[in-house]
Amino acid sequence: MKERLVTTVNGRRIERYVDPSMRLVDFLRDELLLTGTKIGCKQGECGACTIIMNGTAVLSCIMPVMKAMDAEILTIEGLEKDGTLHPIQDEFIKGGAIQCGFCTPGFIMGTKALLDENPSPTSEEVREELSGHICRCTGYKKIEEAVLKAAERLREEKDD
Amino acid sequence: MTKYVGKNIPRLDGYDKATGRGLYTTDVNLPHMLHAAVLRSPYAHAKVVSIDVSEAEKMDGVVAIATRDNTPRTYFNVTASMILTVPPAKPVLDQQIFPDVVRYIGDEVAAVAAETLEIAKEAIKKIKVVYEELPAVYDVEEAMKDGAPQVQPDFSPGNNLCGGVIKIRQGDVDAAWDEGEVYAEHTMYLPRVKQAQLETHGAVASYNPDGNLKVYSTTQTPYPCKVIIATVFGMPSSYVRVKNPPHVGGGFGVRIGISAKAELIASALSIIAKRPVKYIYSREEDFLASDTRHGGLIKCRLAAKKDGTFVALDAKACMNTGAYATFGPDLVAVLGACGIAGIYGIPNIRYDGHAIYTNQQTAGAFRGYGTPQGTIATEMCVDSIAKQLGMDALELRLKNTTRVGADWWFPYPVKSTYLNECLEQCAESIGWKEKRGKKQTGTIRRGVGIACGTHVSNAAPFCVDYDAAYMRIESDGTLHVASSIPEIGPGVTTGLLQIAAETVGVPLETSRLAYGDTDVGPFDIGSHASRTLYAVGHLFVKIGKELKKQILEWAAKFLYVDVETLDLVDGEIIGSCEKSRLCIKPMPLGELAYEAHLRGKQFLVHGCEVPPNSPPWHAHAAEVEVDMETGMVKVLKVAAAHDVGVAINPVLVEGQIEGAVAMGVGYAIREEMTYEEGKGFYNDSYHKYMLPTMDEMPEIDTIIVDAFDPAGPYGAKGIGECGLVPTAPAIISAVEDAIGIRFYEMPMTPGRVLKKIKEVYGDDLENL
Amino acid sequence: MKYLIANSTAEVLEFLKEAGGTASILAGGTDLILDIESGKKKADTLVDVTRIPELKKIEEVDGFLEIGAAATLTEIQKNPLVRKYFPSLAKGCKTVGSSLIQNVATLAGNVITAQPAADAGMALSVLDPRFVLVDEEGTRECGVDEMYAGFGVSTLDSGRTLMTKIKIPLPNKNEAASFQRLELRKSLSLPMLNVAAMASIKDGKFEWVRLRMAPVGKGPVRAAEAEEWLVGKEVSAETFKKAGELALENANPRSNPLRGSKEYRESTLPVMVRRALLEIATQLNVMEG
Repeated sequence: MKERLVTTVNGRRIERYVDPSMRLVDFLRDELLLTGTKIGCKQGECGACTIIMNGTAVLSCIMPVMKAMDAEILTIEGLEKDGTLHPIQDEFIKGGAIQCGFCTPGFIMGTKALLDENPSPTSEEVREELSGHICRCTGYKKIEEAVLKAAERLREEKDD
Repeated sequence: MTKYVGKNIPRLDGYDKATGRGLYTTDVNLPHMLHAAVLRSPYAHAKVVSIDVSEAEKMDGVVAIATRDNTPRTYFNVTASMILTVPPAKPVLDQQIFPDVVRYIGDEVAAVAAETLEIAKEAIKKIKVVYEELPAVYDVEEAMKDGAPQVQPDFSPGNNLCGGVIKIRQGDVDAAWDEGEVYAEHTMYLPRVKQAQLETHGAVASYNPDGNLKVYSTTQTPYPCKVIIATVFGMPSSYVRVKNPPHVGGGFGVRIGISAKAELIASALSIIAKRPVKYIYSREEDFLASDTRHGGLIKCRLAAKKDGTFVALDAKACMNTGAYATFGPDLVAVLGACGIAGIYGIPNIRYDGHAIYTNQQTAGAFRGYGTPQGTIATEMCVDSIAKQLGMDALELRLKNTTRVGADWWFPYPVKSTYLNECLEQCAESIGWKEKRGKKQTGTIRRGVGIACGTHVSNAAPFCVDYDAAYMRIESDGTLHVASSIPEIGPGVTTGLLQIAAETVGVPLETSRLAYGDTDVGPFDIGSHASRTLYAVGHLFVKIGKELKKQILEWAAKFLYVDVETLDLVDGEIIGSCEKSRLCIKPMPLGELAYEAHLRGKQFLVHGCEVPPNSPPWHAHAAEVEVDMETGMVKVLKVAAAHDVGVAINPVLVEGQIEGAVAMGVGYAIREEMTYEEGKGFYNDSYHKYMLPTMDEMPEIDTIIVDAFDPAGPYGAKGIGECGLVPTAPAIISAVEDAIGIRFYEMPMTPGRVLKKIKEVYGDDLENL
Repeated sequence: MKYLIANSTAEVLEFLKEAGGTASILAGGTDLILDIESGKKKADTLVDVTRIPELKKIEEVDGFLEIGAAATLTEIQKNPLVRKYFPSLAKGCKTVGSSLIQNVATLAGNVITAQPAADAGMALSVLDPRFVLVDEEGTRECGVDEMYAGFGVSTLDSGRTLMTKIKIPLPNKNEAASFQRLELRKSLSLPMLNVAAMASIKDGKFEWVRLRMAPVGKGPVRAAEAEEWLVGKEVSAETFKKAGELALENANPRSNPLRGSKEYRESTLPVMVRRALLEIATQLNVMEG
């Protein structure tokens, strides 16, 4: 039986009838064609599917789609504005924090949620908060550096 | 002065990847597409007596079912070794899409394509298979015994030896052995570990009844993948197109050739259904039904003089290659060559490599391709000799490392090595002099260790290994390069375009490399053996120079000047002031290319090259902390020094080193696939496989030593695999320094470590 | 499947009744969703309780800290009251899965899924928590040992009963709690062992100790022998050592292919117990850490 879902994704109001046993990640990828959100394990163990829901970073792969009811969802596709990259995206590219890129959208969304809440994280806080994201390519060093750089840039932008 | 080579150009696929726009195989959706699921063997070894698909067929939404009864019976090898083995050696072709005898828990029995993945999964459960169980063998030593169950009786009659014994010989070990004054002899037991790349194996195959087959794939070697598919299905190779979409979520060796069996199963179903079929491995399937790194054991002994000079090295490796050959025989060769015979100048070397069949999932290529295993074995003996001689482990290494021009086993010369610089610089970074050998007491103990190694910059001339590509100038003067190489993550497509733009003399900003598609580029062996930047770079330098020459020759005629007076710099034809009118105003290449276009001329070159080979060198030093009461080993720091020749893009090189260090740390202390008889491997998910997370990473000091290789493009060498090679042995050495115990079994999990501590120190560990 | 979003406790009970036992309450759902898919658990209807305001509250009421059953592990571990009174609970909540899991998973769920080594539930178990349960018959409270029926099995039937909150008595000045975790990886992994303790120390002696350990049996297992023995004992390294040895009397760990053999767990359990007791002594400034 399908149920009515009303939600907002990347600022766009969406109303659909969905199978409530569907997971949110499948709704985003298969119904809305927002394939930037990746599936690495579908068990909540790799972070590739991370999106931001009502300001919090969550794993869309183990989330029932109906949890999105009346929620504000931000996916990787909603981060760039008119072709201008968000500073986090920019620093990930410049800093060599991206290799195969499969973990990247999840990492960037996790970083966004982290920096929204804590604009000046320490290295240790970055590591703790982002440890639910597995990257098998980078050894995490350049990711950590990119997150700290992006934090600095966002603080500067805020001051301006 | 170079304009692009040696510069930290941000990777060119960054925008695609950072915004989620870029497509991976799992993101590909084609019209009328079906979804596939696979039925896998629950037995380690069994005859498939019968397969009844009638119930599954009746299900609504089931469109095609593939079994051994309606798919090709061709024997193949999922790896590129199928098409790159140099005669007279022959590739071991021991796999079928759906075999009559299943040989490990997870072996493929049948596949279903249905309107949805849920239906396909349900249908799988309704297929009835009758198996007749056969005796199975899991352990290498058991499998080598007389009378052991036969895993592949057709391919290794009478034993379980896959592909014969691989022998490496230099000098005469038996004759030289007595010249030694100190001896080390140990056996190292190595675990199976998993690549665990973020994107699981997958393929979307679209068969058109006109005979064409297009396959979107996660392969790291598109062209070999295409050739294998064509061979298995008996199709004209020209009808098969393999395409990365173009992004691939990591590789690390696990998809050199076919991505496990994804492309073959998706294609088989698509041919039956005549509709596109998508088959994406679940994480569990990826863990349990695709190649791992080889575990097994290596016996190694080393003879040395009292002054520390190495005299003879003798090693035997018995590696568990699992149910099918995949890369087994090739890999044990590299293990011996790079891991045993390459690092030190030793006049007498003997190595026997055995790839052993067992009833476990296959082991194949994984970053380092045997070299990490061999290096661990060699370095355990080197440390042992140092200890016996009371000599500093760093000094002993510096004394024995392979030198430029060395008379070594490899068929190509050592034109450069900065290995001693690597050793010295990583030792300096870790604080070797102050920390090594410092007596430790109490519950938490620290130590430092060091190890070094070498590898290859491609696989020539050991196997068929070459590249072909096209280069052209568009009518507006911009550069377009076409190759079928993949981009699995390291950023080679950026580094290679840096080389191309530099060589031709055009702006990188307007240059483009089309890649990852066998309809776009000609033959390329693909990404393996730390080769892509080095080998394809070598080709790009060659054809880039030809393209430049072609442009300048045409320009000279067009401008009525001598070609010697012209040059192409930064997209402009410039001339020498003495003779040429161009002295006053450089001519944009775009103008020239358009003039050429108006006259029916495109500047266009192609090339096909077997690369030279240059050994890269590397040394790592590690610092660890060991908790004597729990056996917990914590890696505090890894200093990773690398001779990569010239780093074409230093940030990308650092990325390769750091990522490989992380894998090496996991290999040393945590990662392991554990087999449970009757159930299979326990480690079916990230949650059950202890690869490092961000909060577990040690500090990494990444050091690229100042170096240059005369054979490599712009002086570069390979790097992709190297960071993994010396990491684990450096950590083992550091643990020995901390607690006085050498480990001959990996990984050094708390359980293993505590057991040894108790053996050595007794049960009362509280008051040490 | 039906998915119902409840706005009040009464509505939850109404939905559960309508479903006649075939429904399941869903909070974070980080385990439930996977368990339903794998067939381990069944539910025709999911009742989402995460939007009930009273279930989200974390507040101090009449000498108790009350944690709403839908409060997430992140909300709990960041809560100033939790950090002030029960830092060990914050620590336990922070080790469940990863921060991404903690952002949706709940402490109540960590107890109800009844996995023996569940870190948050373990850290909670020694704090003398009272679980407030509501069903058709009314409201009742129960303690830790009444919650665990078996390995991964709760006594609470999520098709009929709702946990609304967890009440924890506030500690006295001379009381403190600790949580120790022996782990292969800080994130995305279950512990090899975890130990939680709470104690009251007066004049350098233990007045009482609550000590639990996992996974060494069903749920958080009480180290009853050690608890009894510790009463009145001097706070010292010797005492911790003996307590560690006694803890083994109540522990029956199993071998796990990844997270340690029975022997390894038996070797290290006393170490974890010692460290847990030392952590308490350190917090109360009785000893140096």
